[in-house]
Amino acid sequence: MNLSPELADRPARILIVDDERNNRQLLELMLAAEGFQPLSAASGEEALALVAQQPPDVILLDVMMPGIDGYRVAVKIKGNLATKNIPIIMVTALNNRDAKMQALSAGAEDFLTKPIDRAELCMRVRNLARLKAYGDFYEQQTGALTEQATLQSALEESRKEQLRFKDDFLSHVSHELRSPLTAIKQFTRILLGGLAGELNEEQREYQQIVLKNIQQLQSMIDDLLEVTRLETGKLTVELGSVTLSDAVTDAINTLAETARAKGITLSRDLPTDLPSAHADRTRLLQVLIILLDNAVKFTPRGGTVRVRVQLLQENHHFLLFEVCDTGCGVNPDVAERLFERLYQVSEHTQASRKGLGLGLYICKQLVTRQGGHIWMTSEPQNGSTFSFTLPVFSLDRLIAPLIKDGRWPADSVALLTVHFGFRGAPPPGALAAQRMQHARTFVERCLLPDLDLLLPVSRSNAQGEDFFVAVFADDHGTSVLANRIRGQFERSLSLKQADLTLTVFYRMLTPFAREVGSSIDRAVASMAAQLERAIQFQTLPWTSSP
Amino acid sequence: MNNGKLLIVEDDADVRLGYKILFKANYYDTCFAEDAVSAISVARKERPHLILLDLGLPAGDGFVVLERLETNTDLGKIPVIVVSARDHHANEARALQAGARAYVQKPWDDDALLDLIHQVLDGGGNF
Repeated sequence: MNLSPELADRPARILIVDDERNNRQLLELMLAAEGFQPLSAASGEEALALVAQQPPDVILLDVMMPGIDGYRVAVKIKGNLATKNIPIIMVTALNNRDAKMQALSAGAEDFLTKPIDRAELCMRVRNLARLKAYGDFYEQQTGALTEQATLQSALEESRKEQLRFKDDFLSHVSHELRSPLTAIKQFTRILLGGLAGELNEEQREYQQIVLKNIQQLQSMIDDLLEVTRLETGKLTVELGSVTLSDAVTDAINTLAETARAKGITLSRDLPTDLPSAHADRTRLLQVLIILLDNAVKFTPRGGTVRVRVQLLQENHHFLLFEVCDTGCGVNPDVAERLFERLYQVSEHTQASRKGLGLGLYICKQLVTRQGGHIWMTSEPQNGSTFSFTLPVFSLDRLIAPLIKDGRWPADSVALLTVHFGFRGAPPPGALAAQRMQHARTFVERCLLPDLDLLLPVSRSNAQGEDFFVAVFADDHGTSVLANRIRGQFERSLSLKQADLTLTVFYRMLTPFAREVGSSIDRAVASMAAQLERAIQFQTLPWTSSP
Repeated sequence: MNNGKLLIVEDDADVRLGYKILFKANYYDTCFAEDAVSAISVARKERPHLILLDLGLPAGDGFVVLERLETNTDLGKIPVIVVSARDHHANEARALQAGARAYVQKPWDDDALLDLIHQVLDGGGNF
């Protein structure tokens, strides 16, 4: 491509259209002498054919011709997308305003009056030729840019396609790997359980080794899928209020058996007045478990692994989590690289087996997505500390965008409490959690996403779980919503089969705008405080099924 | 001593055999179906107390079975636990929404599965 139109390496081609041969010859001579390359046409028809075949750079067009006259030739050339950029100079015998106006309105760029002055002709032709060259140049550039953009979006599309393929491929492979693994694990457990006859001590030991390796393979498949989900944006983080003492206890309990087997002490250090985190409980647990698992793996027998959570000194809106071990430590040079995808500690370690090298990468992605940072500090031979931060939970952060975007008119707000209880004794553990997740999905579906806000605070006790919804509505609107939730519950076979009962009630809160005047921030703070108080002091008149 | 009858819908013969041994040792009766169509007919004939349902099945996947069970007045009362190699992130919510009581990821932990079955049967209270 030319860098500038001045560098055009050929003479400009000028088409002369005139029915009189003498006129044509005269113009040809004048233009050739100036270094242009003249072409000639004796009629409008011939001119149009030539323009279509080899487009000139400038056209000198006589008006009065038999057949198609100059004006109509100009209209045709300017009406064609392929030729409309070719400048036209009308050559008229009449030097009056009407003739000039007619020439311009037919689309000509310029006009000359007969008899033609040589200097004027050459100057006008040269100017228009240069303008045309600039025009072509920019058009080329724009074309190139458009082409580049098209190419880029095609590349992007193909990258996405590749990612989708990889995702599909990995999901498929993982699924297919899990099926035979299921049978292997089943029969290992059958042998270990003595269901096919008692095992002797040696046989039992070997089967335990098989089982341990099955677990490793299983967690590698899980990691693989997790990373695929992270990279294809399928992993969603649902932020809510997370009580940290519970989460840390759950994480420690998960690793308790492994640590005990290795003679490692797991300890926790949490102040009693620690605020809740604004995080995804499952994801936070996942991060803690990966870090604890690593720490236990790299700590020699008899060592200690400690989880500590406290408010971040420098910024009280954040919590600082630390997992410290008394293991072999890591060379500080690789501290950053540890969080890279597929990074594996290459030096000799006491860990018996490497994983896929995805755990810390997953941690970093998950912490980042929850609004925190993760890093590690270590001294070789003195153990390592993995630290990360997460925001402190506050209702302010949650409702501020709603009020600021004007989605909540500052009139009436109610706090709706939806309580799900168990009809009989609550089922322990995973089943209860699954049912409550089901209940939560049910509540979400009953709400209007742009007006009702399901608060990420839920409160559970032995009798069930409360979900809180902040509702913009007056007393009537809120009771309509409460009735709708009850009605939907009546129709939900699966919730009733899960033996859940439902209670819904609400409390109107003081209109906050009037109370605090015009400041949005103060309105947010006041609203958040009211909601928090209402949730905190909510005591339900527990009733059985509605 | 008998803890109840389980219908296992599973297309992999090895996994079916593994289930059979495990459940026999834990005093459950078992009956089996290998595909989506026979799942319904076996359920109708055997009237199990609980169904363990795989999702990847020949002749229509597990969701089809769930839907048919749910819309059937009698069979709809039988609790279903989905046990699948498909990833729980993508399928658990959908299975629960379709009426399953719980979602178990393959390969499972035997003790956890037995606990879960026990809980569901205990809480179900239909027999």
